[in-house]
Amino acid sequence: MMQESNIPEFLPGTLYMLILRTLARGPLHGYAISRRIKEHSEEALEIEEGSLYPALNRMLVKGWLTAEWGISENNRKARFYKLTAEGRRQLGRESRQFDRLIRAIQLVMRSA
Amino acid sequence: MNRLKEIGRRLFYLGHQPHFNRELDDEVQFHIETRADELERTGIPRREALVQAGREFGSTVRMREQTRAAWQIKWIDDLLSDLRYALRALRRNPGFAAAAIFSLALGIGANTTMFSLTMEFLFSRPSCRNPETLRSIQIGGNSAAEVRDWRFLRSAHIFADVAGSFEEAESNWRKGEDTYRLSVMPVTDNFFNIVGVPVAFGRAIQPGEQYTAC
Repeated sequence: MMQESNIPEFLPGTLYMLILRTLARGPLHGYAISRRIKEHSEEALEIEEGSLYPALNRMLVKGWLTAEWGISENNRKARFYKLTAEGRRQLGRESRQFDRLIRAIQLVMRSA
Repeated sequence: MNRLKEIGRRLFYLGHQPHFNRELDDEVQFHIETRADELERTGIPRREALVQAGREFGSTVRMREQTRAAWQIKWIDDLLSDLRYALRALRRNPGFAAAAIFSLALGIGANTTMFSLTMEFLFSRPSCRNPETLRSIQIGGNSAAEVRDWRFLRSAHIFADVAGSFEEAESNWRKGEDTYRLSVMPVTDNFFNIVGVPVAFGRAIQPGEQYTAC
């Protein structure tokens, strides 16, 4: 499980894309973001807390997200992250770029 | 535009650091408690669940450092911590601080004075109206000229006009019961019209006036 969790390190920048994608359906708090990513990847991707919160804060600085305090489903005060219009554009840019990269890698792999 | 907004957000952070740190604490607390809730549902007692959730989260030191770094403007932060360090060092060593402040003050003061004097003597414009039309002449060597000679020179129309002055003189000035010794310069009535020196206080002598002080 721990070996899988360093995906952002061998594909730099994909952490932002994954977070943006997860938030595209609606605001979530940090814990739910890492939970969703883990579930949707069938447990293959696990974001370490140590890199999730710094990444969320970098995204706040860039203006891709806004944060607001609210009440969570377990009735606790939680910080919910929401995609901004700029964040949505960034998601488009990053997923296009990522698709191109994957396609290019696949082309090379199949040619061999 | 995005870049500007980003700088704005970073500056806002700079003024609200304690608030941001508290929010991060609350967020970490929420994360751990929510994970503990989850563990509790699998049958682990609350206390153990909390301990385990905390262990899973791991050390928050590096995470906090990186979160702060996301907001910081590096050079401002470095500058602030350098200043804090310098202030602490100076407070611990007041003698050194006093010596440093004194020598800086002296150095800056001396430089400012030298600069002002240099500007005044070498680069400032003369404070008369048309310096290029003025000439200083002396009649009869070093001694003072007679008023009669001055009148003659004026009527000869060699110069557009001639004003007379007596450079170094002293006079008594009586004010109420007190008498003051003043440095004065007796001049002819047309002196101010010709030289055009601005009058700092009071008014200039008008042509035709006699025995007027200004």
